[in-house]
Amino acid sequence: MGFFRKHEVATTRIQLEDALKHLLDCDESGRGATVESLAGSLDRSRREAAEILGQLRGRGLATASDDTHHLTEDGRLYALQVVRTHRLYETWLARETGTPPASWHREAHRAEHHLEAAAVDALAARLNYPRFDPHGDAIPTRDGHLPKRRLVALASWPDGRPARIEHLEDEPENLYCQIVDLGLAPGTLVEDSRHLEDGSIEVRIEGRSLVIAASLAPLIHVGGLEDDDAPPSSLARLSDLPIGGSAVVHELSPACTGAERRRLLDLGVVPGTRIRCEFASPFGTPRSYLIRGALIALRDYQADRILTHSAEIEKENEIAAS
Amino acid sequence: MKTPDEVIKGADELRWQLPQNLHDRITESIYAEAAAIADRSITRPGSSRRLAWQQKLDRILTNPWSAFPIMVLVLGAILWLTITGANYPSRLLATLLVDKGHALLSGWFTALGSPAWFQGVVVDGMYLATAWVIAVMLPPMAIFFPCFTLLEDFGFLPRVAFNLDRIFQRVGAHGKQALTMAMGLGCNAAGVVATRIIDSPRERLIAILTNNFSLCNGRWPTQILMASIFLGTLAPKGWGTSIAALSVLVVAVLGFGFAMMTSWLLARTVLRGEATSFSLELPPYRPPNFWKTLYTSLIDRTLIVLWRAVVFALPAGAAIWLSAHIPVGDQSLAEWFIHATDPFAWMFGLTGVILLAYIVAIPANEIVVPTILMLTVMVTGAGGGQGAGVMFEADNDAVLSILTAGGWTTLTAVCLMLFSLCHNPCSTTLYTIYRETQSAKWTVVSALLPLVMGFALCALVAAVWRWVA
Repeated sequence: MGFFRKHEVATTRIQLEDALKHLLDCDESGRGATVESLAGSLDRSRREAAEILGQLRGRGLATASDDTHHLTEDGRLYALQVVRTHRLYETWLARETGTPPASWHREAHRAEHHLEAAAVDALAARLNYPRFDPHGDAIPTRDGHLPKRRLVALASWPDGRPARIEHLEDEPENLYCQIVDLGLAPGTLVEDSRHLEDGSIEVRIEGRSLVIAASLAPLIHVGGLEDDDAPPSSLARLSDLPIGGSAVVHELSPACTGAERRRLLDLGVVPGTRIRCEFASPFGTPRSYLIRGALIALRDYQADRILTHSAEIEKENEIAAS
Repeated sequence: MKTPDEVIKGADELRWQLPQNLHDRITESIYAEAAAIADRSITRPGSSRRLAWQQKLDRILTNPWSAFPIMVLVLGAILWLTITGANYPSRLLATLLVDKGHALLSGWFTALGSPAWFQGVVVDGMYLATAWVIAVMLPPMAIFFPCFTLLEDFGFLPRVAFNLDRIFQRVGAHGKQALTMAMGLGCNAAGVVATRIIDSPRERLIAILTNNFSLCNGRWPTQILMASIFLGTLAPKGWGTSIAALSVLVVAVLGFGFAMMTSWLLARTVLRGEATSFSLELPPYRPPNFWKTLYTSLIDRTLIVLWRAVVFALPAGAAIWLSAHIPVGDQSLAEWFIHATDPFAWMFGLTGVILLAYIVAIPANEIVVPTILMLTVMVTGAGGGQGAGVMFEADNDAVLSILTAGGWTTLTAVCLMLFSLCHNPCSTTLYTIYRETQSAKWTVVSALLPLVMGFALCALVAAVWRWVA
């Protein structure tokens, strides 16, 4: 970034970049940033916020009309690079480290101001130029290309129509943690949904019914299914398989990422593989599964992430019963 | 006609219209296609179901009612076999190397007219320490490791990891850590090498850093000696042996508890962000290849570990002898150290002798007791002053009288047992940890972590003991 000289205090850079991101947010949503909105977003006094905006104007990154501020083209490009760094870093955390989802945002927020442009490009290349970060946000390209997407909140999705989760809002953090704990991730198939009277939504996800609280529903964005992505008649989880039962794998849950996902694929847990549950450990978990002729122990949280055709379970049970 | 730039721009825009999970779907379909090709081209003789007897055996070995008694029995049997089986060859080696060999070498050196200090460093120091390590270390390892490898080859050990995994999952570790910890009962260095079976980096590091809490072969004799001569004698007549055995068991179980606690702490603090994935294969049971197993476990595990121990024991022997014989003013270096650290050691229920013994005996826990005896005799002149400056062992009664003369109480024995459990790993293990982790940082952590815990524990016990008494 050529905008800042090296000797400049790092905190100034952080403040300015955070301010740029706020202005980008406001521009995208068409609100227009004011001194008040920036002060609120950065948790600073009005005086400080006004000073930061003045610096941005001085550098030609923002312009003011009346009370509202907008990014210039230079400012927009710069802001997009900060966003790009943030989202690439989150993708890296999700794919290649064991950092829990709850800390992705915070760690990326810290890293986004310190990575040099060359390091960011190297990171993108290493990750195979990903298009979306682990929350489902699009990652701007190096040239500042970022598609406009229309997001539909789960709260306003029609009942009974299958959908895939496209995006999860990662702030506020405590609510995002609740969403992760439910086992939701971008790409998760919502087989069925129904609004309840208190504003919460009952959904059928990966073979389980769960109720999504009214406070979480606006943070979950969904989209319709592609033509070639028809949902199977009904899904179950491998962990639901009774001992002695067998089932055919449909897919790995999108919530299963990084090393965990690669490991399962390496073991041959791929669509079409038939898996039989052999026996459980004395504590109930892990359980052992016969996968492609090898006996593999999987913990319950892993088996939860393997989605199977549930019809097969019933068929197998009938055989076992007869 | 479109220009290349337009085509690229068009492609850039189309890129965003692809489904979000495209990458995963492509990967999955490649795997699925590979699996389908394999299925088409490979025919397997017989049914794909597992053999009936294997299923039955699995059911017995993983049943809540039978699994735990079987695991305890097998571990107990191996330990018993190791301790009793090693007794005879150990005594033989001790007679041969320590008694006869030492006398013989001393004779030669005297005959050749070598200076006394040279004979002291080489024969009384280096040779004796090395002979001791070999005599105490070699036989138990030569029994323990082959037994272990045979059980591993048979397929029993993966079932143990399977059965115990839930406990280890609770503390953020891997079930296979149960195996590396059991291996640590033989030798911590071998236990650290054995962590290679854990393929996720975080769990492997946890297993490496906590292996030291498994009481190794070199520390059992210290525990048993302290328990028999100090704690066993407190018990009513006829109960001495049981009380002694029980207290050693308590220390071993305490070690297991510490390993779990440290794993839990590590997994939740410094190792929180490390990548993790669980996998455990349960291979089919098969008769182990006895001779091949015997050969490889002797060469791969026993001899390599022994060689490293010898390499470290040689300089340590020299250091021990020199510290006892280099005079500084009117006292030897060792005496200065002991007198200077006595008040500090008192806070932890230990003595300066013990601290010095643990410093010079970093290469091998096996020589801690002989060093303590040597130093105590040197400082107090007990036992007629014989053996001052040369390591030795004695029968229980003689040891008790020497140590009592050195000011030892039951508290000292208890604190020594705890400190023996909780102190830095021996240099062989530290070197192995460095080799396995390729990190000086984790090697330092693995040394300091148990040391700090040990001092804290001893200070606590000593304070409570003195307050109650």
